[in-house]
Amino acid sequence: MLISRKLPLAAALLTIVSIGVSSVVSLQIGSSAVNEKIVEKLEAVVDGRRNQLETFLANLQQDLAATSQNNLMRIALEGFKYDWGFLGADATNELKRRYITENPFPEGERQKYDTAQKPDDAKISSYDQTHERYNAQLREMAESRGWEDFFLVDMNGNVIYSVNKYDDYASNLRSDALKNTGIGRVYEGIVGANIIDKTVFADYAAYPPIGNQPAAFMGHALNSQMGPVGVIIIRVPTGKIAEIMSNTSGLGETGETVLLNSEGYLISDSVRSPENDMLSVKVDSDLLQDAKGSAVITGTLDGYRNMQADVAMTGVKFDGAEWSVAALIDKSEAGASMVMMRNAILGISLLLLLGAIAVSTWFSRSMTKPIEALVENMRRLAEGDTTIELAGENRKDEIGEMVRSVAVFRNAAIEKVELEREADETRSQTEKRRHDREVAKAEEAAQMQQAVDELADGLRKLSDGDLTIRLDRPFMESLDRLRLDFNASVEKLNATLSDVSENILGINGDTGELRAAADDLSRRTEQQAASLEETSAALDEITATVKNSSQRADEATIKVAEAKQSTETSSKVVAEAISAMGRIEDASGEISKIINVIDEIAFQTNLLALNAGVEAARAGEAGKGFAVVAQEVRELAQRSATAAKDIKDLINKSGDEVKSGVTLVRETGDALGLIAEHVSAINDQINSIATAAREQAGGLTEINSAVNQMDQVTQQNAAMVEETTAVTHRLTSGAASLENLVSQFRLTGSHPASVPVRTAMPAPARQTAAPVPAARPKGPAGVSASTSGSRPVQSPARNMLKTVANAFGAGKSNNSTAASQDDWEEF
Amino acid sequence: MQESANNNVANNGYLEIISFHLGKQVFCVNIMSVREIRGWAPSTTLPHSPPHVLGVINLRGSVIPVIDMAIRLGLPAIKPTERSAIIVTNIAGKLVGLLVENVSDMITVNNADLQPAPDVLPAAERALTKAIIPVDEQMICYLDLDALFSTDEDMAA
Repeated sequence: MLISRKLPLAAALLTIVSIGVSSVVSLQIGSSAVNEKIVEKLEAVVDGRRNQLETFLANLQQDLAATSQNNLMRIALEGFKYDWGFLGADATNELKRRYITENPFPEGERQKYDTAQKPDDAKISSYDQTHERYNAQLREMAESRGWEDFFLVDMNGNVIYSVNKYDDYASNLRSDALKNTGIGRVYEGIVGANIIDKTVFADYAAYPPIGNQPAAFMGHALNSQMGPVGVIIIRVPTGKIAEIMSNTSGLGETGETVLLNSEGYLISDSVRSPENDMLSVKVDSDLLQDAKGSAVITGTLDGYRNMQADVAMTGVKFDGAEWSVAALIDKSEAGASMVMMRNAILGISLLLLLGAIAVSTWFSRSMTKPIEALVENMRRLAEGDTTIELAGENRKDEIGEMVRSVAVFRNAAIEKVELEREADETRSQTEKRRHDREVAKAEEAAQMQQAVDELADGLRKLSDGDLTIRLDRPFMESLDRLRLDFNASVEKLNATLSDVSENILGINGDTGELRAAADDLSRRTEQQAASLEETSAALDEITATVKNSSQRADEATIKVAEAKQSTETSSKVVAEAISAMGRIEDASGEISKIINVIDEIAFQTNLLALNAGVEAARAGEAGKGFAVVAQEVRELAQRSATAAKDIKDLINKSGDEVKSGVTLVRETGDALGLIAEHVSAINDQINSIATAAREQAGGLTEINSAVNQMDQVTQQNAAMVEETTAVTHRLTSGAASLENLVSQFRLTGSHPASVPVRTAMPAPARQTAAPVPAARPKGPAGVSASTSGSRPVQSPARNMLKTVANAFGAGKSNNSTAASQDDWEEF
Repeated sequence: MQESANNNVANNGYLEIISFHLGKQVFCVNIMSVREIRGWAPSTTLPHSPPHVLGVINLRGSVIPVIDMAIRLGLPAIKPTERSAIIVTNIAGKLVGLLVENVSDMITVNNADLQPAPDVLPAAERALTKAIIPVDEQMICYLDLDALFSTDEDMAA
């Protein structure tokens, strides 16, 4: 099967499978979700209704209990009971006649008849008056609370008042007609069972007085302080319950909520049916048995109103009645949305399938077409046709790759043909070049042989001392540098040897000069050594003196320190003296005080003695002796006063002396301080003198060592001068032998003729003939050389040695000479 | 009064006096008119009193006036010190304190030594001085206390 058929078929199959599976799954999920939703809604509704109902019933109970506490009820009951007694034995028929048969209002509006008393009636009934008084109030109360009827019953069971005046009005609740009805059961429940503190309830049942309509009753005892005095009973407001149950919002077109009694009969009229369903329609389901508790039960219900319905139920418990609330909705209504969803999914799947087949066909065509074209091209290339045109090289997919690979095969075939042609051309060229090279090699060998011959000849002449030889004929190109270098070397050697012979002349002249200078130097060095010895001796003396003065200065410092210590001790003594004088002053003050006391005592004694004297005088002759005693005492007192005065004067005087003593001591202290300051100043001065002396001693030691050094150096100089003289002699003989050596060479230029003349002169003669001007090409005069002997002069021998060193490399024998030259310069 | 004094002097033969200083001068009174000699103590000033009346002091329960003798005798006022003394005298049955600078001595003199005061003062002033007694180098002015007191009253009147 061709790929162009396979691809679209596979795409269609895949699409059908995927869409089919997803549709089925989504339908399943959707349907269960909708079902759950409906059930949840039913549960919520039924729970809400149950709560509403329970709240309503609880309110009803509270209202009734509150009403039973109302005093008005008790007063009204007592009034009616009292009046009932006046109506005689046949009160029931009398009241029924008055308020039912003769009631101008039709049944259902009888409550509007306030009294049976006719205005023109001569006989006045107290019951009618009481009825007139309370009827309007009680009617309004019942209407405002929604009660369907309201009864006042005495303890004998007589209904002594009812608002709506049905056949039960004025009847006895213990009669056969009523004792098995709801109201009868309520009455018996309260009075018979003596329940006085809560309400009693009777469930819905057919009630004959209102044409066997269902009715439920609730009652409560009326209590006084003595105990129960009557009962109030109401008919439960069925309309209000119906109102709660008839709310069908959120339950669609077939849904509703109904209230069921324990046997399954409806006790609220269904809004979905026109007739009254109370106690006539029955819901027959097993669910009912389970729906008695507060839990919500869900399930399905068949047969009610001829439909199959989803239902949720829960129980309502109220004062003995077991009711259930049920919310239900037709299954066909709940499933309608599911059918719509299924149809939509099927339509969309079909459209997707058609689209997928069309797209896959087009896609497979676009792939198979270029592959067929490529197969044709490859077949042609295999047959050797390289002119093929390739389409689709720019495609990014695998086909593009294939096309590009085929293009590579085609290009390789074209290149192969080209390469074979180029290889043939290269081979012929190489053959020609090899032949040319062999011819050139033979020529080169001939030229080289000629150059070697000539060079050998030149070198042989050079070894004979002939420096005039030159190689004039050029060699072959690669060896011509050898010839030029040989010529240059010979030239350089020639020039060097010429310089050497010239310099030897200069050396001969300078050697004489050198000898005279060395003599001069020797003499002056001796003088210097003598002077240095004298200096050294003088310095030793000075050093001794300075050391001595330094020692004296140190001693003086010690003395001054002692003096300072003494002054400090004196200052302390002075301070102690001052404080001692202060103590003397204090003691004087104390003595003065004591003396004042003595003075005071003397004064008082004097006064006493005077008084005694006066008394004695007044006593006349008898007091004579006493007067004498008094006189003695007075004299004693006066003497002690005088003595005290003297002591006081003395003390004052000694105080003054002490004060002046303190002043003097203080001045002494100040003077001592001043002395201490001066001593310190002297100490500083002596210290600086000692320091200066030490510094001088140090300086002198340095000078001494410097002089010693100078002495040593002078000794060395003297030795060196002798050495220099010896070296000068050796230099002269060296120059002569150098001349002999140079004369062995045959040089180009004019020098060779003069060289033998110089060498002929003997070395000692050269020393004495140093001042000869002809032998001194450099230097202005001999006098200047001797006066400036200590100055280093650039030696011509040194120049020559440098030149030789440059030409042949440094000679070891020259080192000593060069070293001595250096020492010369340093000095 | 002078006469009676003189008579008195003449009769007794000897006279006992107490001498005291006021400034440089020495005065004396008859010892029989002296009740007591006390050290100086501050006195309580009386309102509207003459300059020589210093005030009153408490002498063991009885209130007695104190007179500055210097002012009374026309001398510069005494500045009282601890050594000053008050001589309590009995003048005509009344106790009077005399502030003096210094009680110097108790002397027994011969009546013959009493010399009358010279006649150079007005009668009222001269009446204060009963006699002049020369003792050793000193001249002691013997004061008549009765005259002093009566003149005082006269002056006050």
